[in-house]
Amino acid sequence: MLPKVLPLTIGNNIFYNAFVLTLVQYNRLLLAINFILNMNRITKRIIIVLTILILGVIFYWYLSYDSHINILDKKTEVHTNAENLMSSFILNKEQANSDYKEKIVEIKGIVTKVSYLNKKCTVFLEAGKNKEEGYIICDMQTNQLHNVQQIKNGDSVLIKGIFKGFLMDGIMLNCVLLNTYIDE
Amino acid sequence: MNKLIKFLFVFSFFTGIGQNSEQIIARQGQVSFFSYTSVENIKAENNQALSIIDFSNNKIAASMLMNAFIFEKALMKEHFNESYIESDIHPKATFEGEIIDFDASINGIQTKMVQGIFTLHGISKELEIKTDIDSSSGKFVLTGTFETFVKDYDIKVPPLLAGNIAKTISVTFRFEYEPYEK
Repeated sequence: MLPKVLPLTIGNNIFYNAFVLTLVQYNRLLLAINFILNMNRITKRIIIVLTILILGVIFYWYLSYDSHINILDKKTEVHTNAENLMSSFILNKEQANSDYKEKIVEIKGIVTKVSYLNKKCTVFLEAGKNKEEGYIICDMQTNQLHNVQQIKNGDSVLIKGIFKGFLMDGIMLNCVLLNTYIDE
Repeated sequence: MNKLIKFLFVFSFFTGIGQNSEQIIARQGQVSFFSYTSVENIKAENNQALSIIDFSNNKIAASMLMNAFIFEKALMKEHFNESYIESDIHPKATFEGEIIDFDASINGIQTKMVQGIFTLHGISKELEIKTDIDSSSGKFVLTGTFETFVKDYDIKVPPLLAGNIAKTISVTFRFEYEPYEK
């Protein structure tokens, strides 16, 4: 199938060499296709089933990638306290959103309420002297239940989580308690 | 005439203050939605929905952050926020409406219709939602379920994934209110 002049021309003409190499590759491809075509039916089926299975497993693994995040593994991007966070929002909503939204925030604040509504554990941090200024609502990770049960209203706490944005209050998800300063 | 306007202004100002004490608030409203198809079931939950009811005119308002929905799988959340809802452009879903024939003085469960405008993905639709209002525990608790169409909100689902997402999405909500002090 290959031209007989092949050995003579190597090193002489780059384009011709490339042409010959392409021919060689084409030949190999044909051989491979022939190999598959000549295989008996059972081997063919096994190969097809195996390929589908492998693709399926990869796809399933890709889909079932768990959304659970451990916040302690992530690096803190912003350090702040509850009052600063809220006042930055009151001053300039857009700026506050671009500064904090979807960021990993470590926040210091005073606990006003701990709620166990909807089988969730949520810590409310005071965000201003007036109640109308709202709170920072921290939705705690499920493994934090024991730690959260130790804190009381009025405690000063340090919480790390993902800041999600503002409604009337600031909202943080995936929170963990880092430290508690009692009777500060 | 001028005096009358002044009087009305002052009067409305005072009644305005009076109304504040008749407001109740839910900061931890639970809103979840489900999409059931033969390919996969998708469920997401938001536990930080905000809602306020004003007893003086039976008006109700609710809003929630789209990026605060929790999904089982990270990929679903990514698709939801980036492709479907585009939560960077439309960060919130809101509802503003009125509870029809609501009587706050009734103790126990009453079923009422809520009529209002629901805004999602920048598109507003008029909705009528049946809700159960339970006040027997001393707190007002609003619960209900409604169905809504994906296509109503201009949400583009790529043809490849069309089988994975239901055409109608069922939404469930539960709001537990407490007095709103200002």
